[in-house]
Amino acid sequence: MNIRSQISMVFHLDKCIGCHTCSIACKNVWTDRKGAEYMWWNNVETKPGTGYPTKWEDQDIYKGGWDKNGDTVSLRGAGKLRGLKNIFHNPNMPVLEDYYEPWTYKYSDLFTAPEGNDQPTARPVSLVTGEHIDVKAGPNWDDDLGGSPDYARKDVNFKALTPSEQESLFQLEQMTMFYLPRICNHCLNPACVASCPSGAIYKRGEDGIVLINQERCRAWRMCVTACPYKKSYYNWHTGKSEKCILCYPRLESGQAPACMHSCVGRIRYLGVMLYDADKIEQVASAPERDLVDAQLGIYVDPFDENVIKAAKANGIADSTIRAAQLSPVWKFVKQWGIALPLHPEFRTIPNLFYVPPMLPAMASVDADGVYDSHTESLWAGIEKSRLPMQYLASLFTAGDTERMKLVLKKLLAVKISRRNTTVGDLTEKEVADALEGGRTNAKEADAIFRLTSLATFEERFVIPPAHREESIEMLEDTGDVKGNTGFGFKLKPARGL
Amino acid sequence: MKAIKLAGMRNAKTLYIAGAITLLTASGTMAQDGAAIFKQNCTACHMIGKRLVGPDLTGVTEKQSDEWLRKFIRSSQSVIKSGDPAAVALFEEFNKTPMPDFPLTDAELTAVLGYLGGFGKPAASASAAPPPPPPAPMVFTEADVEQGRALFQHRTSGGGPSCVSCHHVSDAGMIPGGLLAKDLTHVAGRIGDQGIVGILGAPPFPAMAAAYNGPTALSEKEIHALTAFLVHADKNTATAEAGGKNAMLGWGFIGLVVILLGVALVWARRLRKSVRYEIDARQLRTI
Repeated sequence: MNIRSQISMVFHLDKCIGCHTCSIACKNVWTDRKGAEYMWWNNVETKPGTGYPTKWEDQDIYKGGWDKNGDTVSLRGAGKLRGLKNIFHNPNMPVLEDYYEPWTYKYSDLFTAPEGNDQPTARPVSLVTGEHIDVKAGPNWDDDLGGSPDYARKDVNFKALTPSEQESLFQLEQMTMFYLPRICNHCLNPACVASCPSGAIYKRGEDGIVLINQERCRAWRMCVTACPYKKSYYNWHTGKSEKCILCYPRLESGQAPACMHSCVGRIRYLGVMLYDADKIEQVASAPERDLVDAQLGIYVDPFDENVIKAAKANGIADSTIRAAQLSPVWKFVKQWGIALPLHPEFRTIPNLFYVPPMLPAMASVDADGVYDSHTESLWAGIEKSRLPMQYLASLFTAGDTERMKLVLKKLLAVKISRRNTTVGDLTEKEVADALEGGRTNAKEADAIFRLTSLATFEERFVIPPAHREESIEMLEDTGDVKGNTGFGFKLKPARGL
Repeated sequence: MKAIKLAGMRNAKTLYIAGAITLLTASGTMAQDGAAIFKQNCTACHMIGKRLVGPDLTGVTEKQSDEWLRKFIRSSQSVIKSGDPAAVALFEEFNKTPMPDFPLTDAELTAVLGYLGGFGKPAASASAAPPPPPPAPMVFTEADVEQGRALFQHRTSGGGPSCVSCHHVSDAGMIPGGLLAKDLTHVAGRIGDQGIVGILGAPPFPAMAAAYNGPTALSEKEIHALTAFLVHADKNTATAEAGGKNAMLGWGFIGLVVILLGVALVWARRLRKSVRYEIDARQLRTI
């Protein structure tokens, strides 16, 4: 066992209201700079939709992530030979149009325009060229199914659906959508790290945050290709690539990342997970149908004596192990098993898990063509969910619909259990059936409800003390710099004027 | 005040004496210096009493003024460009082979012109003086030619650079040479075998002089072989092929096209439309 610690996250999609506060918080803190205008380290997409950048999930286009290659995995779009062949012109990257051309408005025209018959207008100008542009798209242009013929209908996950199933999705009565907020997954098997020809990208040993060293980055942009989630961005001004840093300066001082701290729906949870690094290759190369379970198997029980011993042997601090035991991610992902990784088939072992959304049950249209939204019970069962199970399975379980159903049934059981508690209009049998169907019990359902709905700030974000002093000692001898830092003067102070 | 003046006078006196000594020593060594300078710098192309690469220098000091000669030796091309009729005529007469510039000092020029002045009148008018015997015609064997051809493409025995790195010779079995210096295909026709021997023995061109100097100087045998090769090349290569430089350019261009085609084939699927292209195109149509 080679136990390491990893800062992991859970996003509860049922709670996301699509307000983009997280995106704005991130933008204001990190990417409101020249060259970074188009970057959204945190973005919120409407699903079904093509996302940002356009069709990022389609690895036939972008060649991101890993391919299973016998007992191991190999990069789909980068690596030694492919990387060398493409090193001076990397073809499998989103271009600016696939993100969007960032723009602002020429507000000064509102004040300085000469007097005329019409109201002055503030025309959009590109933040890249400074020229007037016709805005064609933005990072969430398809918000709330806007422009669905072009966006929602071209969702990459529809590959799993038949044309008639797709068509029925866009009947007015059945239309539905949910939001998918995305940040860097800080993967256990990061393709960006593997693809970098300069060795500029690294995964921090103490908390598993994946970072790009801005001094070593040489702008080959192999990481932009390799990241299947397209969360590595090229800064055209500095000539370096950048990505989400999980607000590590905030984490090190015990604060939640900006996107999570600002989340209005409180959908975000963050905590430590302990995992067995010896299993990474085995998990990444698991057969597709086993991928989710294999990944969940890599995280080890922080209460297990052997795990604690092995973790300590690897230099993991007691405080980190304690944080892992209190981790909300551990509860959602392992204890209750209701949070799933996004697109596990990319084989990067992402550390951002999603509690899938419970979409409204489908109404029926009767023989006379009358739209009937009445169902026998409030929750008609997840089989009647408006979004086909294959669609959600394509997002979260690499196409395994049974695995998806299990999670949704558990979520449903929690809701039914709560209705029984608060309203009390259900028979005992109904409740018992729901709990059994979700393979849970009333106690667990209550615990899930509490962490979902009533969690305090400290329960949602269990941030281990950073122990930077120990991290620094791994890299250099602190004795060497003793007396060289701290309070003092660079220039000799002079008295008087 | 007085003391200073005296000191000044004494200094001036010392200078005069020093100057006089210098002049005396200089004039004393002048004659033999002239011969040495001539041998070192001029004999590659010029002889007394025989026309070689350049004109016979017998009586040259009487044909041209001292000032003209000094200018011409220091920078022949500037004299020719100034339109001096005598200089232009000489340039035309000798196949427009430019004479390299010799940055000699005034004293050295005085010495070498003094040396040349010692040979009296031009050979043509001074028929009394018997012309020096013509050098024995050089005999070249096939082996010499082969050896010369090989030598032309390789480092010399002294470690000097190969000829081919700067010179081109159009000859069967010879790789295309550099374009840094003159095309030597017909050099034997221009300056004759003795001229080649002279140049190779004591290269008058700065770059060549630096390259084949001291330990890297060419041996007699090497000079003989190279001369043999160059005479052979002159006889066996048609004049039309003098355009070897252009042929090389042409082949280079064709090669470039072939390489670019290869690149285009290997990376044929490079330039894609943006993924959004269809979306934007459709939306533009609907506007």
